[in-house]
Amino acid sequence: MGGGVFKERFVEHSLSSFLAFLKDALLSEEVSLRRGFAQSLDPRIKILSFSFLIVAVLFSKSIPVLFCLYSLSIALACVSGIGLFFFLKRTWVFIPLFSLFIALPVLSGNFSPGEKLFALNLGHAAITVTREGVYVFVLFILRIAAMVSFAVLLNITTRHFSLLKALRVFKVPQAFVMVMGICYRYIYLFIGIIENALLSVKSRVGMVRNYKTGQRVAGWNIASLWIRSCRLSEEVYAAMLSRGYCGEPVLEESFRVKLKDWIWLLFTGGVLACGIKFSL
Amino acid sequence: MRDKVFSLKEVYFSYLGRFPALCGIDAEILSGQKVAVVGANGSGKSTFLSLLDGLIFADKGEVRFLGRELNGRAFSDDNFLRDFRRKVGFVFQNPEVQLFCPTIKEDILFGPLQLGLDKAKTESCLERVSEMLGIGGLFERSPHQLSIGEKRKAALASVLVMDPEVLILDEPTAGLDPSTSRNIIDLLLDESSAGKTVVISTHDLHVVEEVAEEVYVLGQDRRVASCGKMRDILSDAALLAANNLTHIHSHRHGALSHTHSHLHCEQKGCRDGGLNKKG
Ligand SMILES: Nc1ncnc2c1ncn2[C@@H]1O[C@H](COP(=O)(O)OP(=O)(O)OP(=O)(O)O)[C@@H](O)[C@H]1O
Ligand SMILES: [Mg+2]
Repeated sequence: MGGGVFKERFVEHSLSSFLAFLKDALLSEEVSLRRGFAQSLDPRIKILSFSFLIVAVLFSKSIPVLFCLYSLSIALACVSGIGLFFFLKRTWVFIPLFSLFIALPVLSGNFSPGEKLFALNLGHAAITVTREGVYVFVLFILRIAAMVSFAVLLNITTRHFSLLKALRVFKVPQAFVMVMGICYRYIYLFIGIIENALLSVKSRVGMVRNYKTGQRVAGWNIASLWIRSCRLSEEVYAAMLSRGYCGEPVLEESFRVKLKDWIWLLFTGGVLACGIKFSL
Repeated sequence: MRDKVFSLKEVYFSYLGRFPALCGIDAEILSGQKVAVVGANGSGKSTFLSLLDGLIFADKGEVRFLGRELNGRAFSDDNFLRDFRRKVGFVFQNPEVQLFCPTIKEDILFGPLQLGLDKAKTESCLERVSEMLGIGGLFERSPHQLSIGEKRKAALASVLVMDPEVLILDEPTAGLDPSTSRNIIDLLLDESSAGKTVVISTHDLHVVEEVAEEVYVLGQDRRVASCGKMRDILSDAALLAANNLTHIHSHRHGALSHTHSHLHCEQKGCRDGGLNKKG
């Protein structure tokens, strides 16, 4: 058995486990049903306060401050019944996605001129790493990490329908909220379709044997997936209409702001104010 | 005289204006009637039922619900919309699309919540339905963790719990185990004897025989090939065979094997449509 086959198996395996992960990461509501601090906040207050924190992160320019904010997000996760390892895994998956391509250039001397730490010699192009470059890089990564952490926290501790409803309170247009609501279902269906398509290809041809046929199957799939998923989302919408949906979800529980919510909002407002003050 | 719940006159419908699905359908469904729509794959059953539920509108001809024409204008009237959704429940052929909430329980309660139905009544209805379908244990699960049959049951429950006056079901028993199918048939009969109007589509002539009093056969030409009383339709072997509704059985008795078309019903004269011996 050649290395190529091994590689294909590996790709296939990692693709399906990635899909499973994605489904879980985006759609599981399990965390939002646990009892914990973040879950107990009123969704409207939660959206507002987490926006405060994210803006504070955007403004702060010092590593210690960012470090504190990042620690705050981890502490929040811990008091919300989320395991530390689970949370780190969940957030750090997205961090490279956001950061790497933007952050790498600033490492090099071209963008951050300063004291030379060491130089990588890559044939014609030498990359000089400077102390300032490293500083900016760490700052950048920390900032992304803190932002992603807060965003993930907000997402996994709030039920999707509550989130949608709370958005309406902030005068986000109804059409937009509706589309988001459908998107949520749609992602799930879409991942399901990809999974099934993968399985059906596997059951028919054993596995994607060579690059050429693999490419053809993939090309065909993407086109048909697109059509199929459009059709499904239409049907989902029809199913919602059929049961009396008129564009705005009606929730069972009504939102109630408690004293705890106000204190928390005040605290995050304070963090934001400090963040802005120190950055100016 | 019973009210006409639905009346269709010369209804045409095509998808995207290019793929004709219904070409001139006439039908009349009376209040309290039990109606089955049968036909081969692609004959337009689902399209027909979607028209009844006001999810699509006729290109030509008219569909009326209790005398009022179903079209875009009618549904832009909020009162009518609410009233119609309250009175008519539709179970989709693909249960997948009908479950869009995080948990099954929320999905089932979605309709009553949207329509602002009475809480206590909904609760008791929920209890009855979930016991009947045996899905009490699934309430906290999320839709993507269920088998297809379980999804179908949940989708059914989500409509039954609204307690609509008109029940439209697109292949309600497809892919369900025999005892659940049985329960669903019983449930439909119960609803019907309580005065509900029941419209189902199916390929299963057993179900037709038990549930329906009126049968519409949709032909390959996407028109009503025949309609009438259940007994008359089920005893018309040629009609059923022409619409892919019977299948050929082949079995072996010792060295002798023979095939015959097999009708799934118990009436006289519809057994062993064409017997031919081989070997
Ligand atoms: N979204 C669509 N776009 C284009 N054509 C469609 C679409 N949906 C259905 N059709 C076509 O309309 C016709 C009727 O379809 P319909 O789904 O009503 O059949 P059906 O009787 O329910 O079949 P089945 O027994 O397989 O469920 C078919 O020929 C089908 O190809
Ligand atoms: Mg159908």
